[in-house]
Amino acid sequence: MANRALGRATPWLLLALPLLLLLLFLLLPYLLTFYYSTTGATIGRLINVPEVGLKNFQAVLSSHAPPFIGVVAVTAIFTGGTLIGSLALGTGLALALHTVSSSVRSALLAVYLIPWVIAGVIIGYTWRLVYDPSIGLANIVLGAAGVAPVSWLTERATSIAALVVANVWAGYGIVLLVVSGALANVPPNIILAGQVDGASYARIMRKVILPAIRPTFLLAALVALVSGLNTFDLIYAMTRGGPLYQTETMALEMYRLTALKGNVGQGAAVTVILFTVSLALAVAYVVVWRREARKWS
Amino acid sequence: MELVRLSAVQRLVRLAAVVVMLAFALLPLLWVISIALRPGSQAVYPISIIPSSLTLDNVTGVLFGSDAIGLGPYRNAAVYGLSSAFVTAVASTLGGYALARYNVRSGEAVLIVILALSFLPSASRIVPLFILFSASGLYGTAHGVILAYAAGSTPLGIWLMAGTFRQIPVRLEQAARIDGAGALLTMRRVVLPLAVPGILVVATLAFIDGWNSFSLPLILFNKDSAQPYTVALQRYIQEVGYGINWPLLAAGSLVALVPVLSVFAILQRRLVRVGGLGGAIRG
Amino acid sequence: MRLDIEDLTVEYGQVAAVRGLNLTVGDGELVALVGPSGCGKTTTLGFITGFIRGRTGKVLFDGVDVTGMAPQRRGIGYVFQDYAIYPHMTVRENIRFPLDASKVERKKAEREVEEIAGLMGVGDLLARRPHQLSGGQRQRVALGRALIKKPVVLLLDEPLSNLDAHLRVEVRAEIRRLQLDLKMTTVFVTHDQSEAMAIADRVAVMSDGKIVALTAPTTLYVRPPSLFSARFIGSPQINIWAIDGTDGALAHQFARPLIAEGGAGLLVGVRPEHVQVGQGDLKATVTLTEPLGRDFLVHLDVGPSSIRALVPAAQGTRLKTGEEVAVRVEPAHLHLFDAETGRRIEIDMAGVRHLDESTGGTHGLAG
Repeated sequence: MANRALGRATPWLLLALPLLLLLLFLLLPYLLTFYYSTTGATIGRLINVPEVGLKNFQAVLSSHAPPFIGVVAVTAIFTGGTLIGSLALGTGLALALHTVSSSVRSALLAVYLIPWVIAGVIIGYTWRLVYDPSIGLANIVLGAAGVAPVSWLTERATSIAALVVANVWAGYGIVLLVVSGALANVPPNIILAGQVDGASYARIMRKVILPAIRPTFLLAALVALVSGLNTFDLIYAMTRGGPLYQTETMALEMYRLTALKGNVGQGAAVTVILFTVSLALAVAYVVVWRREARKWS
Repeated sequence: MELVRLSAVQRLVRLAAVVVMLAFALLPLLWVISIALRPGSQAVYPISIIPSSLTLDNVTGVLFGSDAIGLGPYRNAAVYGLSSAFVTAVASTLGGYALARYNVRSGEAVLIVILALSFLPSASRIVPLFILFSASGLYGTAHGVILAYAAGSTPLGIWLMAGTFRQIPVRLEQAARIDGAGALLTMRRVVLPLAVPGILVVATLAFIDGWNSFSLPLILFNKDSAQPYTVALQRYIQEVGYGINWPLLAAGSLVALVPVLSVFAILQRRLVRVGGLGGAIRG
Repeated sequence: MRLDIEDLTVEYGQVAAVRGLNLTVGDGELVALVGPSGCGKTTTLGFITGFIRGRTGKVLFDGVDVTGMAPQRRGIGYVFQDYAIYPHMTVRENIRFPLDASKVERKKAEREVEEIAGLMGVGDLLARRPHQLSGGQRQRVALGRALIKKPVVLLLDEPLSNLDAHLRVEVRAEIRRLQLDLKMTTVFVTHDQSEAMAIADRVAVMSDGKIVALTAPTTLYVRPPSLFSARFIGSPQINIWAIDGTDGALAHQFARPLIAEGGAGLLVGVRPEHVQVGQGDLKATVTLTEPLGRDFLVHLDVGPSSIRALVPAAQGTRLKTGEEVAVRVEPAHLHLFDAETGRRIEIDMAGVRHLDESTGGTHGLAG
């Protein structure tokens, strides 16, 4: 009997170390944030902090420099652009590669995935160099077509779009990887059967392939959405939210409030908002995914 | 064999997509390399696309020159990457094995929570970790950063290792037991050798995350000596006046790319297979 | 070594996989556990190894209770259906693994590996990896690995089912020869009744978690103790007709010499090879002939009932569909079963029914 009790405890003994790691460095920080978002903590004062209720949230929502609604708008445009761009490029490319022989496909995949392994900061520097007004590739190419040099990262009309393009470059790879994996799992026989039945490729795509990869596509969409919301390194390296807050997203705002202004309480309040939105998306995803998975199994 | 027979127009569209995306993926990197490897005198307006001569001056300048960040920041990043890879591999192997082999009643719930955790990337952890480390004395220490990055890489790691262990037949473990091997010998001689490919993938992903770490070191290290290259390279950017020393910044970025791209080149086939992840998560 | 399993019951959740099983395998004996999939054969093996716990039940090696002993300490040899050869080790390392695990000195271990590999006919494959081996070679490696530590009991779980048909007969004979040479106490699990009949000293027929028959192969064929084992053993399958029902007329016709009083509640069985075609006074119509090689399987109709008969090819080729032929059955070849319980019924000279107790398992003959 003792033996059996030990047998039941074994998985939890094995899980102890990983769970401890996740609890301390993943869950606990978020719990702390919820606590600090209701306090007047500053960098210099993290213990014995005064309770302030929801004042931090009020202050964040009513802030003027930058206006919170502006930060939300920038975040939404940046995230939406990233989402649409990486899904379109990643999925489109995955579908194009699906019809290529598998050896060619895996070689091409490796090349397309290079940006996926590069540090966000280095990606930021890379694109900052591409956008550089004097020695940037973008202006050279446009200059060859007779267009005058553009100051991509400082002009209001182009700065967010320029960031989106860089972030799509950073993010389409994971969409490509996940959707390619799903496409490889579509049984070739149902595609061959479709052709034997005389269906066109477009029709097979619409009726067989796309429905089969739908759950994975949703997964990729969520990953792209949450990572767009949380992009920090790339924007920090390219514009630091400037000039004049015109590329300031919520991720940068929480860094600015906490580390630069030292207002831990308000930084935590922004984090709570961002965290809640991310979590809601993740939960929504799990619900949708389970329903889809049931439909397909 | 090709899966479907495409019309000529369809083939042309496919070829165009592949080529345009290759240009999109590679041109920015080629431009960084081109700036990094040309003499500084050629990296000014008006600039030619192809440099007239190549030099390693910028690379040696970043590592050893008068305005160098030196080897230290790269060594720091390597320490964070390798340590985080080690911690992640151990934690993921333990957790993955537990979830794959034992019918933990709440096992599925644990996996789903872990999956949800992996959907909360690092940016929204910067502030919480800053608070936690400040309050607990881990502020400014390498241990804190390593454990934080390992914790970030472990959810996906557990997920991947659970999949790896599920592919190793339980029968092999039973066979080893019947052959007279105890739990530890069975692990060491049978299970772990077969799990090595999965462990390598998990460790590689964690290494890349650690090597690439920026936001946590940025706010957690007040000392220059502990900073990774990602933070140290900021020296070449003067935000005020937008003066950027492009030759050195590009060369410093190029040096940073060499280890990750090497690791990626060696393991890309296995990493690409992780793309089955989408399918794996469904199942 | 003698192996006893006493009163084994295994449950998975609410479902009982094995119920109240008792089995004794004598020293050096080979018992085949045979039955359809899901009948509890592999679960029983799992209990002997110690991987599966029973709700009740004991396993004894030479009278010593080893029920609580860890699998690695039992000294069992086991060959898995898919062989479970360690894919990352060479043949040599695979066969040596049990000796490594018990810390046998390397030189001595190597000598024993060479010896057993020679015995198994894989002596020249020692440096190969499993993926470079054929199915038959893997099988031998698995057997070598199981035998090298001189196990107290050898357990074989469907060891032939992954082999090509022609190889199966060959390896079956090899296993039997080896087992007789080594006088190894052996349990052989299979779903193939002909395999069980060919290899075993005794055959245990399992159904629904119970042993429904346990006897020598020939007895099982000649005097099947239950309807289930009669149907399970023998190919093509035995003809069964109920006295009560649409087949009543035919059943009664054959069984009249035995059951003058009417035979209510009985089933009458005749193996196809015991139906004589071309003799007797019962007329039947040929509906289909199937050539099986040496024999023909002939399907016949008598009124509403049908008969399967096995006839020599020479006779089978002459039979035409639709043709009317005479059939008869020697009364000695009739098997009677209780329609309710499925148990074998013997009828003595005086016409009195007896339950046949000689060949049954100890717990019930249902099925």
